[in-house]
Amino acid sequence: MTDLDALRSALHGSPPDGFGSVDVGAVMESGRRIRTRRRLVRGGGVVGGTAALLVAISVLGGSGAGTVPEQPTIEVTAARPANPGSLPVGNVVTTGFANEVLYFVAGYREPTHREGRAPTATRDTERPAVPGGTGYGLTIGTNGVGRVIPSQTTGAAGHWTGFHSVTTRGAAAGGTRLYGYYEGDVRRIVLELGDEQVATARTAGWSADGNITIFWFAPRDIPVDEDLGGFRLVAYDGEGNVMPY
Amino acid sequence: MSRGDRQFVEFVEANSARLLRAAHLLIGDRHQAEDAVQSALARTYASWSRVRNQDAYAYARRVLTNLTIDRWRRPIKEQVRETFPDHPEARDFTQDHAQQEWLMRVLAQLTARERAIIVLRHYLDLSEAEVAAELKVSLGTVKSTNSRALAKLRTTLSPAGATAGEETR
Repeated sequence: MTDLDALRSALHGSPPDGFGSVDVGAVMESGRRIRTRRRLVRGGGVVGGTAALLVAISVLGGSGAGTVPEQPTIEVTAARPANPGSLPVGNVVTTGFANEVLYFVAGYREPTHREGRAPTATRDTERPAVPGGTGYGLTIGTNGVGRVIPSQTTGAAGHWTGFHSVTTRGAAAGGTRLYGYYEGDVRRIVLELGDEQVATARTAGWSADGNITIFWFAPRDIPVDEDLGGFRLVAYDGEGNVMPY
Repeated sequence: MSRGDRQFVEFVEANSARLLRAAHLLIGDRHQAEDAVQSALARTYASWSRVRNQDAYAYARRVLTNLTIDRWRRPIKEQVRETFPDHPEARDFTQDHAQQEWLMRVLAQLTARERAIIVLRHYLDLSEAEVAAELKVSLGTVKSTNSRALAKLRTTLSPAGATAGEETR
């Protein structure tokens, strides 16, 4: 027997204790979750390419632990190409992924017409619709030499306690970017599916307004082939209560 | 259960043992191998409608390999030991248990890439071109790495190599 034959023989042998059996039910459940995520993320990839689409994300309504959550589907305004001349207002947050930064810009105006869709905020009667938005936009870009290079901006539609400018886009290095900001005294922001907490957002305060928390998820937490359609974006306060969406 | 789901269950029953074995050879840890196969099969199921009429096994194998590659690219945590690891001993294969114990020890002497190429080439029987595509490396890299890995293993297989190993301790 040659050395290679010996190696091949050993490779094709059986481990002494065998392996546990695969839990097919668990595999299929996990596969369904992946499949569910894929659909929305495919939408996110399109947003990255076309810069002006709307992405549907299921969200959790209600406030306080123990309430029966409503699960309205809100169409979150996606981003538009950033104005290359816009300058950061307040701090520039480094996300830690591929030189990526998030920051606010001033002078941003929501487009009057968005492909025939009504402004997002008017879909929710609990929230005030503020035509023209706040004038601020959350911008994602990269940290260049001595300056930031903006990529896309998501407008801020008004003031309320809850999520704003929730944006998704494909990431060049793989995975999907999901980011935005929360207005209110939030302690933790998570992505949940059913009873499962899928990912916890990274957060940073905005130096221009202490009530604003910029959040983002690691690209690896949201694989590019997954669908966020069944997911809920949930904010918790310091006592673990669910905060308004 | 839908027809597609039944097909998937049959697919798992038919292929999970081979995938588990491949994962164990690639990773070296039984529990991590089982986790990797579970993940690979879940991703396969997520794409089942697309891959079931193609080569579903090749798809699952590719996902599994990619999961292994991801492991290579994570930061390596070095374990500092006070003594050098034992050199694998040359031995005859009179018992399966001893053979498998030996196999895992000699595979552990290889780098992650060498190990993957050995497993893909000599356990999963992929051609060199297929290994190159699977690992996203050049054909030349596969050839040279395979030769280098076999040379390392040959040293551990031959009595002369074992003797040399003893002398270097």
